Amino acid sequence: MTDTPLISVKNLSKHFKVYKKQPGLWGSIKSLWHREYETVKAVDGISFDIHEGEIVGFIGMNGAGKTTTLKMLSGLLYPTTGTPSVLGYNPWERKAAFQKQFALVMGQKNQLWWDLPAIETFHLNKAIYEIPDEQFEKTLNKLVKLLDVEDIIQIQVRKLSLGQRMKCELIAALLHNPKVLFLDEPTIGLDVVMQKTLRDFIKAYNKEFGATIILTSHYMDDVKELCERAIIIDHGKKIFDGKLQDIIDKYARNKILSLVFSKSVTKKDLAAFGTVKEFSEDGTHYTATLLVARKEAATTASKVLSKLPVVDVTIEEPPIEAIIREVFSKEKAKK
Amino acid sequence: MLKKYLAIYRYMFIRSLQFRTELAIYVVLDVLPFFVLLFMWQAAFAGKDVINGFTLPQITQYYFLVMFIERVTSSYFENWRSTEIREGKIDYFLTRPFSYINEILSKDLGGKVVSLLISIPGLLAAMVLMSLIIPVEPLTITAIHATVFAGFLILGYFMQFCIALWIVLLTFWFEGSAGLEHFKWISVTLFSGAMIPIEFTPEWLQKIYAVLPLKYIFAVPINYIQGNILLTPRLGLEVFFSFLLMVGITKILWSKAVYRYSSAGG
Ligand SMILES: Nc1ncnc2c1ncn2[C@@H]1O[C@H](COP(=O)(O)OP(=O)(O)O)[C@@H](O)[C@H]1O
Ligand SMILES: [Mg+2]
Repeated sequence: MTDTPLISVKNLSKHFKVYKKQPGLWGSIKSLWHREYETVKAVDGISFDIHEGEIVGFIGMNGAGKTTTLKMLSGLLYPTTGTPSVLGYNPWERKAAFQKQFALVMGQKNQLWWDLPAIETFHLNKAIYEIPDEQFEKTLNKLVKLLDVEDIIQIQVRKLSLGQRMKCELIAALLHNPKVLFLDEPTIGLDVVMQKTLRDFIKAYNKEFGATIILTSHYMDDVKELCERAIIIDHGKKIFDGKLQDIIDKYARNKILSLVFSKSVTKKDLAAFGTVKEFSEDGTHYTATLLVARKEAATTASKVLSKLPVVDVTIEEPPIEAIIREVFSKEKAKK
Repeated sequence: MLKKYLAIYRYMFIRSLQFRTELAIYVVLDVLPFFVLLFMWQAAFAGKDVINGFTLPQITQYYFLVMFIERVTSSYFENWRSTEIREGKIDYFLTRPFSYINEILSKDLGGKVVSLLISIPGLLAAMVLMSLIIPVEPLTITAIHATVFAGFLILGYFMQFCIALWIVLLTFWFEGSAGLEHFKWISVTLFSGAMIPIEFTPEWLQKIYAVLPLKYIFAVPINYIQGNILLTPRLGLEVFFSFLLMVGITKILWSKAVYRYSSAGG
């Protein structure tokens, strides 16, 4: 690890001027001569440094400013304030030397050619990035095997499932072996198994190439498995930056136990094991969610299993919204 | 470097092959208004041999050349490209070492080659048929004339490309491009000589025509191949500098436009 950060951001902001359209016909007519604009502070004075080889998780609720930050780091958006430095370049200048060393993958935005099989996009990328034949073949073979997509890359992209498409997106983004990788919600909308596959893959890529990765997500699990460090953003502002474990220890002391019973149980029975968050019974379905201490989640679960008529149990991370609310209120109270 | 671009053009070419049937329909739609126009001229010439120094066969020849040039030089990508920008779909090019303008050009060129291969035989056949109904002045061309004319066509293509690109780039500032597209269509047809030989137009229009470089797309090449004008060094320089100016405007417009890109979605 070197001392100079690979990515350095100081007081970065992006404000969008959006025009407020009045509803209805009269509103549309009025807007012909008078328009009201509103400023949205999508990113509002964020600073951070990221060193070589780090995987940093950007967490925040929808609309927090995660995507906008990554777009500025990729040179897609011109910052309102602040000049980010990535690999020593100003991304906005869009130097080829910079672009050949990074990649941006967005879970909600397709970058493959919709009407063609993914393999065509791979070949186009090969030409655009001037990847030598040998390196291309080698990388492609490896990635295709790792993600198990031999049969998929010959099929028109629009006929693929979301998970298959995401795998192809990742391959397309990695063919030129980028040193810096921006992953914007790469697991959004995917089932648990596929999420896990992609996570493992991202981890392997980071290990093998020492790539520096920023990953945004609003799933705690994504971040927990991949990132040591997390940056939490809320309303365009950074509200936490540090070890993910610290957040978990401090703000996510509980896990959530979701239970389904075969017979009616009382709230009192449950209260013995943890805080009852939800409780419902309608004569045929009996369900409850419990907040239990993180460290005791597994033992508590087995205790519940042995003492109550449980048919199903899952242990989950609390939703990111809850954690952020916690962080927000506590960090504010500190000041 | 060249290898990179050739490889990319190859992929754009593959892509443009997908729209063959659409093309065939466009050829017919393109040519139809011209034939209607020719019948109107025929009516106008009833009882007259010469109008404004033109005979009917000369007029027909003029429009045949217009049709041909129109086919070769025109570009129509404004609409879907503007939509693409508004919907934030050009991230792919803005984050990779290949410029968006190059993407537009390579795809348009690929499509152009295909469309010409399909439409030129059809257009020639239509002209032969038409010449059975309305008299056409035969055109005698030397090899030099043909070469210079081809040069004009290529330059005309790039000029039309620039103008279409301006419309696309202006959508970074304005919400819709439909109005701008019409404005482009009207100015190009009026001030290039594509609608009517310039001799027939009012004086104010001729003044604008003289200033704007649009004449180099239609009227000047037609007059050249008809033997009415010579390719003087002065003319060559004028054409060349007009072209440079247009490229320059495009570059400035682009560099200002990207600041306004909002990369919607994601
Ligand atoms: N192009 C845009 N024009 C106007 N507002 C935008 C634009 N892009 C994002 N925003 C607004 O900026 C805020 C942050 O958006 P975003 O960065 O996409 O959030 P996140 O990725 O964290 O969900 C949101 O309120 C969003 O509506
Ligand atoms: Mg987002």
